Amino acid sequence: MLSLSPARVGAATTLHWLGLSDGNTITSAKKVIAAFEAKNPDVKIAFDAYPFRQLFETIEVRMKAQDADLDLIQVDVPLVASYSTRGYLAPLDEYFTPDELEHTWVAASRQAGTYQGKLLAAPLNNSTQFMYVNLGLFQDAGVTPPSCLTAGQTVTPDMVASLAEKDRWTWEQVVDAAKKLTKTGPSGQVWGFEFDQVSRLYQLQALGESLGGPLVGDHGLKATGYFDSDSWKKAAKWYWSLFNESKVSPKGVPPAETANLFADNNVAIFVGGEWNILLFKKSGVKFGIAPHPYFAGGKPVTGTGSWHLGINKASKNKEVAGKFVHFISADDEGSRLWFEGQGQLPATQKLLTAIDQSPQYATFPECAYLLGVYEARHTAVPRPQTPGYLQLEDIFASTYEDIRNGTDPNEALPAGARRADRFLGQFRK
Amino acid sequence: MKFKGSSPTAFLLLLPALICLVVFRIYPIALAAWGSLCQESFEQAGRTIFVGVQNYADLVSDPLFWKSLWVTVKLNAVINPVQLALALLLAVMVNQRFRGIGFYRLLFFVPIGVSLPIACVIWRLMLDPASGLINSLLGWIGINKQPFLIDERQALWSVLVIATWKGVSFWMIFLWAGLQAIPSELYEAARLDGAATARRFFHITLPLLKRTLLFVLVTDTSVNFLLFVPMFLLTRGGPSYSTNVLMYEAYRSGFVYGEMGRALAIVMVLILLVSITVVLQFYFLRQQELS
Repeated sequence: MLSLSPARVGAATTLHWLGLSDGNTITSAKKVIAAFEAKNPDVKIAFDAYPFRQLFETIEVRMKAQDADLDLIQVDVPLVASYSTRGYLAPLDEYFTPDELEHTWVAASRQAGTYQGKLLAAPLNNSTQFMYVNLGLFQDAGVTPPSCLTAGQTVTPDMVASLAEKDRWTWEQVVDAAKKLTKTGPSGQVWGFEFDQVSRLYQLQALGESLGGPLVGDHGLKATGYFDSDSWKKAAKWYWSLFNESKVSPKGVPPAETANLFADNNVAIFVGGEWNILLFKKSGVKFGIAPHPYFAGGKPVTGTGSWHLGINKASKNKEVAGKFVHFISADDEGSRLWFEGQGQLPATQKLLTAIDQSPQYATFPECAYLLGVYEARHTAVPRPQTPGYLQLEDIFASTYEDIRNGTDPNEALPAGARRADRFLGQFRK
Repeated sequence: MKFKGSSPTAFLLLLPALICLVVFRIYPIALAAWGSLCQESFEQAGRTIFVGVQNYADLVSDPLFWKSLWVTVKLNAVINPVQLALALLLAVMVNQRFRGIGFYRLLFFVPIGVSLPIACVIWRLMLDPASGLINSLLGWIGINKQPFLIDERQALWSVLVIATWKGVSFWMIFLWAGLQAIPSELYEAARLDGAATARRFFHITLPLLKRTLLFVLVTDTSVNFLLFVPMFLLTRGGPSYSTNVLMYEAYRSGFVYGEMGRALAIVMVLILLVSITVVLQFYFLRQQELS
């Protein structure tokens, strides 16, 4: 656990924020906290950061203990329903004007943070998925890269839309290229392809959905027949083949390390979130950004949804915590600072409009946000709305990790579906 | 033996230990037993409600529980004898006196100074299927690369190796202390009578070390039934639930899925399992002692 303690002691109120340590979150949090504290000298904020999976576990432990010392919780958006059902989150409506509630964020983000008519988690950002291509490795292997956004271009939203509509690669094309790109090079093993969040639901949902298969049905309460449908079996078989047949992707690499493989020139094609742009730019790797692939005969689908911020129902500092939630999610300065530090697609209408219109986003790599805006408006599919998302996500990850390690999808998917149904069933009672 | 008239004193002397036992052992177990009879109600915003033996009934009908139970039993059936045998072997070795033995003793003690999470991270790097040290060493002797932690047939045994590497030195210390308590005159007399090394080991060392062995076996068994860190850090119970021991399943139920009632029911099953095993170990070793 990383902890950014308040710089000064003796403040009137100290808020405790439980959040993510991955990616750029700590940097973003530091910037926003500093700006908020400058405006509110009587408030200090301590940011306790945990890696992705440990964050969920820590939230469970502390919420179950009704820990009143915890004020703010970073909420992965599909968990809003689960946390609300179990009484973890306090409603946020009173901290925003009706106009702000209606117009601050894109509708999908606002709805995703709303449960039974109340805003329970305010959107911090949205997310999208790109296909990053290592232009140096393509050139070395003599493989023609896909049409992509790259250094030296000046683009408009229309050009980006044209790229997404006409030049999007299929997964079949990706594997063909990846086979040619996989080899042992001078700087070690080069893998043709790698996913960012390997085996995670957020990353792989686009596979089955591209083939027209929803992951769960019956209002998010049934997995059998969906989780193991023909569409998902085909998608899972394709995923299995990446690691076990064509062997263009490495086994055993955890999600936290995949982006570094691309940044270090060990992966030629990398499908991952827009937050990786900052890392790749810093690493000096020569890369381009292409639209997220889809299955031939299927439809283009991309992952979306991201982190929201909620207030612990047991918190004793709800009023001050509400002020901070407003600052980071709706205030011009707070939301801009978070976006700049985080590098993720914003959730506020103002920032999205700025991306569409500002010349800053006409050149590489910032122009990738134009592609992100296009995907958010045309191909983005939210994660399943189910109070059992916590369990579903874990079962999905276990199942696809097994498939990655060689288990036959025809065995793994029905077993995963049965297990998911056992948990989802309790919400039907 | 009778301690006439000394009972109140003995009771007073034992009282602090008894209080600690109740506060830190009995009370948490009672709480867990009660919690295992409760569930969260999703209709009442997560309120805990009494459900009787429902959690246990759910466990009995859950194939994953039975698989986890089997993995736990399988692991313990192998790891406890292996660790005891290796600890005894090491103890006998470090008990030797010759020039430079201090260096070897230091080597055997190294794993004790490494925390289990650190050991797991180091072993994960060494067991990496693509670029790990172990596969490089295997390559030198002509053996193909092994998947280790990502293969359902090898993962549990890889965990066993890691836990054994970490645990054996610790148990060795107790056995070494036991060996040093055996009077050297017994060995000298046996030597004069012409007893060979093996005979001295089986007729002097083992019988006189039995109490220490019993202590190590019981404690080691309890520790290994609750083994959790390697599964948490290395395999998350996979691949295909092949390392999903009951302790990890309890953790996952309670802290990942938020089903504390189910988690506590699994913990109660584990307590029962450990108790039965330990009672059986006491019984058999005592029978041997009597015979």
